Amino acid sequence: MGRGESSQKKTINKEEWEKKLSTIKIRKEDMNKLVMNFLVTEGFVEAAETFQKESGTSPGVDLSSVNDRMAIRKAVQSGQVEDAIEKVNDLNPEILEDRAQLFFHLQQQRLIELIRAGNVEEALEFAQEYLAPRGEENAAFLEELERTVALLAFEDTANSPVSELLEASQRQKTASELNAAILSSQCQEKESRLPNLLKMMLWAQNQLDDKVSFPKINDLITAKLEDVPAEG
Amino acid sequence: MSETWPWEVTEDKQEEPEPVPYELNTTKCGNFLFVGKDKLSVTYNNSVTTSGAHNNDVGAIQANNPVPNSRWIYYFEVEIKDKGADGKIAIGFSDADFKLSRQPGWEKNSYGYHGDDGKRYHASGQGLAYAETYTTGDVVGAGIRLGSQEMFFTKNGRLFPTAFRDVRLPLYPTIAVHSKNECVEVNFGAKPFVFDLEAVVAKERQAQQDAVESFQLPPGLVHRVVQQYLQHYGYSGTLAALEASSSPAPGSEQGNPRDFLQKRSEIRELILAGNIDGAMEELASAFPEVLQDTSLMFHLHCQKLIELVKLHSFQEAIEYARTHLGPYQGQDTLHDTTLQEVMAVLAYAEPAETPAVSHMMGLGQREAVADAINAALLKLVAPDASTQAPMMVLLKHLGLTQQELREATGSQGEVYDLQRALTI
Repeated sequence: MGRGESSQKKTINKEEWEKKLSTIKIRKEDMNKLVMNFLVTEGFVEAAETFQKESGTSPGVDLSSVNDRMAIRKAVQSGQVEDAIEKVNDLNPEILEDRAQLFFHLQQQRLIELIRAGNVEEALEFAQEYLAPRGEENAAFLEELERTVALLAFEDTANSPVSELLEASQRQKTASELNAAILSSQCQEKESRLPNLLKMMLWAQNQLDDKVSFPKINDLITAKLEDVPAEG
Repeated sequence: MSETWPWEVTEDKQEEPEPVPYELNTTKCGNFLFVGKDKLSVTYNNSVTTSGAHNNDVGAIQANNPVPNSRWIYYFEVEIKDKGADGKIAIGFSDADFKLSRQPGWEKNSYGYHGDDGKRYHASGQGLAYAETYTTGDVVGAGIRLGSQEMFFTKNGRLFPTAFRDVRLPLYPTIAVHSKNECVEVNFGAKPFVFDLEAVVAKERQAQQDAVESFQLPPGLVHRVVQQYLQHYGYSGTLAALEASSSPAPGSEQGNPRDFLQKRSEIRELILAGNIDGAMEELASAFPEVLQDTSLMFHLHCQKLIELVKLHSFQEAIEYARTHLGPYQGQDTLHDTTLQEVMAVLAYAEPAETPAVSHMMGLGQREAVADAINAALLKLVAPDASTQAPMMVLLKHLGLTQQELREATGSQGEVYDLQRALTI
């Protein structure tokens, strides 16, 4: 504890807090934009179109490109990696040209899908022809490649040490990486703004809690102010 | 009144930029100092003694302005041009009452990093072990992390650990020389620093951002917050589209009575389309109670007037105002001022192009009226429901928490700009 600081925490009760809250102004227009940003980033195209009509908020991007982005995401999530790569290149070939790691992860996902489908021969051919040369250039890629090829060694892949590669979360991971790359190529943030603001609120609440007793919000769904613990 | 009343223009506040130190304050300074023409260098010029000068013969000098408050780090540097006889040079900070015949750090409310022993000093003639000595050719720096109230020093670009905590402003950048021919040159940032300040700030910001990111939101939460928002304001079409294209978020209450969502939504659409008569008809048939609310009716009538002006039906607009708005006069000062503002649109041939009134001519104004009507309807059909969408409460809570957090740290450091954080 530093000089001049008392061990007694300052207390702001609920009534005072509510009074102060009412002095903070939030523009409706800004909230509308946050909602639109969420709908666009998460790819709810129809909802975004309707929201534009209902609130007059501009989506800020071409909504048809959002449709393309969602189709690409869906393709990876359903294991159609080749299809996804083709679609990305139609959208903007620079996305994959500029991102060696992303491209490797997509090829790796393709290999995983071949192994999942039981196409052992095709999988090996693909690994040797497309993935091995990249592994030679990059140690991290090589390790990833080895982990993936190891899937072939297990008859019961579900119980193998590399089983997570076959889980839905692996597709999700690849899809998210690709999605983020497309967003960044369109100069958009990779995550919608709202979750970051909410996390910032939780962080600030936590920081302030060290110094001041005040009504916190623990349930973000009801946004209800908690009671301030009694002094003492 | 409700938060959502129209005609309440939120002003963008323009704050004066804080003054920053940019040169030495020559109007008051310590003994035996020769200050360079550019007011950025000092030489100790006591010809009487060569060394071992008296403790009250120090030549200290401060910057012309105090350390600015609202930034992540304040930092300045000094290059030792000549260590002179003894190299009794100091860099640090001191308050406005500091005695300029003393070394920074010796007096209360002053801090210093001394060249001859490499020690850190605060409110005492006894230094504490800190870092290295410095001499001719070295560049030393002093900085304050304003938000966390920490003072640190650097030498030749190397950052030393935190020297002092709980550092409170106001303080002035301060340097001192104390033996014959000692000469230093100060850099308040007009030239690039030797120390990579930007990299350190970027690293510390990233560390904070990582800490923020480490908070996990429950799955589906953001989705739910958006759904609540759409429901609160009556954006039923968007809500339906969102729900159709996603599996129900955990915890969402499907099939609940929707507080007349559909009706509220229809009325919103009518207002947004500029069809005020239609909206009033809908209100009359579905929520006749609302028509008793003079305040609401007043705002609808005002909007109707605006819509008539938009159509350039000036004659009709004036008649409408006389019939429907005249009776409100003198009942309520808020209404009177609003009425005057609204009537002002009649004064311009092209009100949409006229800055004084253009804000009333746009879609935003229709939205604001729709929001006011919606808030009144919600109060009517769901008196127990919150008058604000949870998203609004959360964002206000964020703003207030940041505000209180800054106050709890001596009102120092960057101001969290909620408006900027919200602007996409």
